[in-house]
Amino acid sequence: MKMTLQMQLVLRLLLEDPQREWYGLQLCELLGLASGTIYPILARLEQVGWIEGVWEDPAVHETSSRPRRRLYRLTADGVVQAENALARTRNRSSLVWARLGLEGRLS
Amino acid sequence: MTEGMLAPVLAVAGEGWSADDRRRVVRACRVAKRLHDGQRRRSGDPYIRHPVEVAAIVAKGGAGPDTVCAALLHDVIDDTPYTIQRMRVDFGRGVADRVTALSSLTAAGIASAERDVLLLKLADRLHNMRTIQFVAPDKQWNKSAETLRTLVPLARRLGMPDMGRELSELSCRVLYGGKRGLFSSALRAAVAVLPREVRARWLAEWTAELATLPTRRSKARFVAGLIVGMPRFASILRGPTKPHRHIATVAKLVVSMAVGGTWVTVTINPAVLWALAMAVVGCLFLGGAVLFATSDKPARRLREFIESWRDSRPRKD
Repeated sequence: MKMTLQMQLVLRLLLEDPQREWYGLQLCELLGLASGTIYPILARLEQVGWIEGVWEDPAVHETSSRPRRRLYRLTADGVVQAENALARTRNRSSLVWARLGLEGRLS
Repeated sequence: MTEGMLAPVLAVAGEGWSADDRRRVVRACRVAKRLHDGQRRRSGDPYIRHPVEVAAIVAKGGAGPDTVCAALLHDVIDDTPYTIQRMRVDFGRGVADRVTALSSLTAAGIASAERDVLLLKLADRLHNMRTIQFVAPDKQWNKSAETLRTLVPLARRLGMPDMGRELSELSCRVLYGGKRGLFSSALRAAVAVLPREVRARWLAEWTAELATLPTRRSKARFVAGLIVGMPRFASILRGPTKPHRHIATVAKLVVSMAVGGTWVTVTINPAVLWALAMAVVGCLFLGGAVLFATSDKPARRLREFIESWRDSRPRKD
């Protein structure tokens, strides 16, 4: 998995509350990222099984009178994998900082 | 007057009906018209048009005189002082029972209901769906969802595929943006680069998101972002690909957007296409005049025009 900055942002947000379900547009708005960035990330994460997508319950979207959304949530495996991946990225960046003699600047 | 309004019903009813049946149907129509007098549909039409249309639909579906009478009288109990007892006396038990069964029909009761009652239900919904644009948006949405879920399968089960198809088209138009705007057309063209088996799923997801965006500006930004990200998206869905596949995807996207764009221009606004065609014809005509005219005056004028245009531009030297 390529850990681009955008990917890290998405994973960090999802890990805030692993049980929560999100829809694509919501992530675009919260993270300030373009739709063309978010959906490829969601597709990639769904492909590798870190998140799973489900169609919204008809009872919910019909009462709010709009078409059904697709909702995404971290899988159990996804929570572990995402945490590891983020930790690896953090390690790598702190290594870079250490090499530059700026250790401790980055939390 | 009443007979004129009922002409489509009586024409379909054919020879199978006795003179008595015909008289009863005309009487039902007259009674319904009197009772609904002054009431209007949301479309502004006199209310009586609705029961008459429903009667025409059930007659076409092969219903007998009792069911056609019930169609004509199906809303009088709820909307007027007329009572079911009165209907039983005036038009017989067959008619009154059908009207009662129709108004108490629930989704769960469909399995055990009689064919005539189901036909009435379908016809009632079909005419309501044909005029749904006059109803409040959230109600439109709920009715369409219910139609698609329960009534379309019902129509197919009763052996009326045409009715099923029309109901399904009308509800899909409400639910999935049948009044296809510029944005959903652009999305439709752009998903052509995705693998065939996943197109419908992503299109449904994006159309749903698009429907909740409030302004044209936000819709435009959403769609533009998707189109820009589409080649990369396609390559993610296809798995690891070679660079030439990626270039091919970009080329395909450009072509499908161009085709989609032309299609949108043609379908949304024929005037634009007409103006373009006129401009082309005009250029051909002018070019012909310059090239083939016996006098060289037009050519000289054109030259002067081009020179004056070039002179008017600021020079670099």
